[in-house]
Amino acid sequence: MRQLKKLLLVLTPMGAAALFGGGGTHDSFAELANWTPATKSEDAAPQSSFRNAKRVLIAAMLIGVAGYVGFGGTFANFQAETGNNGNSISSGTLTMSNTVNGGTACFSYNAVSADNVNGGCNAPFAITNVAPGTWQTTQVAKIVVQNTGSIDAAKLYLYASEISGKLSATGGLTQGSPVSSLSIASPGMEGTVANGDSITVSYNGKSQNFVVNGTVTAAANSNGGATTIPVTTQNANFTYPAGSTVTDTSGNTATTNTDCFDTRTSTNFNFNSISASTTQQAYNPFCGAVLMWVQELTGGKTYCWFGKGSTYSTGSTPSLTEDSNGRCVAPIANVVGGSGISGTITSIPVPAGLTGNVSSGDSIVVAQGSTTQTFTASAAAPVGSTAIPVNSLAVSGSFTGNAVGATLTDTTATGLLDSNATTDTITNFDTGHHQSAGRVELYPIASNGQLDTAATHASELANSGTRTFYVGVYLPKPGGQNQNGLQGLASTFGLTWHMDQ
Amino acid sequence: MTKRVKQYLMLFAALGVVAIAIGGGTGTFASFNAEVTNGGNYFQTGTLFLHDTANGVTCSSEAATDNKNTAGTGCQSIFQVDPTDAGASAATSYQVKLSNAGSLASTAIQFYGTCASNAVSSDSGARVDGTGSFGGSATSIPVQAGTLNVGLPSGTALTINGHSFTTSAPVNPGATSLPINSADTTVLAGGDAVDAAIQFSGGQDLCGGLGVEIGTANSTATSTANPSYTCKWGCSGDTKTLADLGSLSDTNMATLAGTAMNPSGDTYLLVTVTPPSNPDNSYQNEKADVSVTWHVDQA
Repeated sequence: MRQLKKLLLVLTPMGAAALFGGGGTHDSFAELANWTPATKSEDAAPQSSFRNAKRVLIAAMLIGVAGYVGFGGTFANFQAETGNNGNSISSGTLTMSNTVNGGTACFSYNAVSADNVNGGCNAPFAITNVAPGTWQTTQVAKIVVQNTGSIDAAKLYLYASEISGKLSATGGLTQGSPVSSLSIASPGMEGTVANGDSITVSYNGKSQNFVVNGTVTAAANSNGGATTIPVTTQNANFTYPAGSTVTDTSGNTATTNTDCFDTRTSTNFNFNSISASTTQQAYNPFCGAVLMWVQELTGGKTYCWFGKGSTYSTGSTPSLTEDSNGRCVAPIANVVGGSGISGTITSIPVPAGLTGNVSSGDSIVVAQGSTTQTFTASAAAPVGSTAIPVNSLAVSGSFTGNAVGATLTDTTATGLLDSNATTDTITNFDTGHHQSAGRVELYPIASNGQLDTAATHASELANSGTRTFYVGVYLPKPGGQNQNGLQGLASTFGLTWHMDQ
Repeated sequence: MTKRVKQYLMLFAALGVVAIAIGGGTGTFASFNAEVTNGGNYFQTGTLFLHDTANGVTCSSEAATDNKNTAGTGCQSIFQVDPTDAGASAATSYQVKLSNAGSLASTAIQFYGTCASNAVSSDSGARVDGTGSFGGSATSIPVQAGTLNVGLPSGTALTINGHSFTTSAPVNPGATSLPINSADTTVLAGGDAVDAAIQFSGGQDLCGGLGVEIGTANSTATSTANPSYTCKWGCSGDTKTLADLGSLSDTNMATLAGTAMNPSGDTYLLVTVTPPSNPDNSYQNEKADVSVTWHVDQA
């Protein structure tokens, strides 16, 4: 009888468990079926009583089994029931776009690497035949960064692109197969890859690290553009297709391995070395000579993020003071617009909006072919202004068509950059502000030249929000310096905009 | 909480710390992120090269290690004038073609040069005759017959055994006596100059005696009379000599107005040398060593 009691105790919770979860009561059937009274001395009840009890228990168990296998009907006459069906939970999106000079937007999610990281957005600059101290309207680009997702971005960063490339069309990796070399699609790696560097291959959230094992041969006459990277052999942990991102995470730490790299565009003239310059920065000398600035104009507020006038200009440790008006020394790159200029004027129309900053007293040169005339700014005209106030002056009669389309150059601004030729170079930006150190966090602008850095500040790029930047490059012409070493060279570089939820 | 549960929690905490350390502490703990890169930006310089063609031979600035071929490597002389023509020839023009072989426009051509007057030969062939001693009052040097093979103008500097004398009158070839200033004869005694060679140098400054002007013309012009010729430097009213050319320097260059060149542009120059207006024997045995450096800057 004691054994029977034990079985009844077991049946009660385990039967319930069977009904709702199918949890392990089936052994009870076997145990019950095999159970028999032991001896009379052990249980004084008659044999038939045990048999009846056994039948009852088996019937109860069968009912339980019926409930378990799905006879879900109830036998009540009245019943009521409510169902909260169709519940769903969906994630938001955090995507961004990048638009250069009003062109086609480039989206983070359109990358071949399928990881919301798009390294292939439009290049703002494709400038050729530059001479020191000269200025072309193509040397400034307007870049609009937009949060195209549904989630606010708490963080927005700007930093030098990592040395990177894409696996070539035939360079995909096969899971489990040994990899001793990475094949990079043309134009090769943007930047210089050194023996021993750490390389990451990534695609769609998967990644694998490799170590460069051997000399990486750059493209001809170039410090970059390698299309083959020897690595220490290991098996691929995933099948990485062509187009997967290849990143040198050891880069941007020295002038010899920055994302910005120099190429010799013409014959080696003995004086335009890209790796042993005697008159300029020894390695990547052009990257070390070209100045860059990043001027923001968002919501009517200005801030200089890099360049002369920025606290970030000298590297990862801010040591300079931000311009009180948030204005970089940023030469304008505009043309006379509207109805042009004629007669005696006090203002030059620029309806497209200035792409740089004019300070009071700056010399503004209007040039149309061989006809030039210099005006003096009578007041400041920051980026975005649609006119430059100038001291009253009669416009030269040599201009045609009221000088509409004539180029405008702020020679005072370019002169200031000529005398500031070593600080705000692309090389300094790369080594001071890269992915692993010195990223420029683009805090919201509280007012001109002032950031909102409080812990409780608003998101740095709200969903659907945009921020507008003007990025410029200029090859200065410092006085008394022989710059022949920079002839026939080209620099290639990148800028990365990154946001986190 | 059991002891084992505590152990698990501590293990998880330790793993978290390790993960942060491996991650580099860059602070990107966001689950969602997005990134766009404006790569492939390209910024390229142009070139500024100057090519120089004289007498059919072209040399280049880029042949030098600093794009300044001031040594004239590979460059040809513009003119070589026989000094004996100086007193006889008319003005002679020589063509130089300068080319902008780079991709950048240039400023107007600038130039500077050097000019040095030197004797064509320092060996007169003459040798001292007699005892080789001169008294303080001597007014001539005896010359072995048949050894003086050049004529010497008055004022010619002579050197005998390192001692200097000056002729006091013109001397014709074959003379057996060189007239000298009496003040020069106090140094030789005791036969020091027996059979000594008589060295000499030029008399007049040829650089100062030869006029020069530079102008532009078309590619076929050979003289300033060509209608295409335009004088740019050393022109009438502001004439110049080779000495004036030599006074210029890389910090004080002359400019040929209106000669700015676009890429692939050429400028044809005529360099015209004019002999002295009143030549005499003082220009004998003279030569002028002249160099000209042409320079352009980016426009």
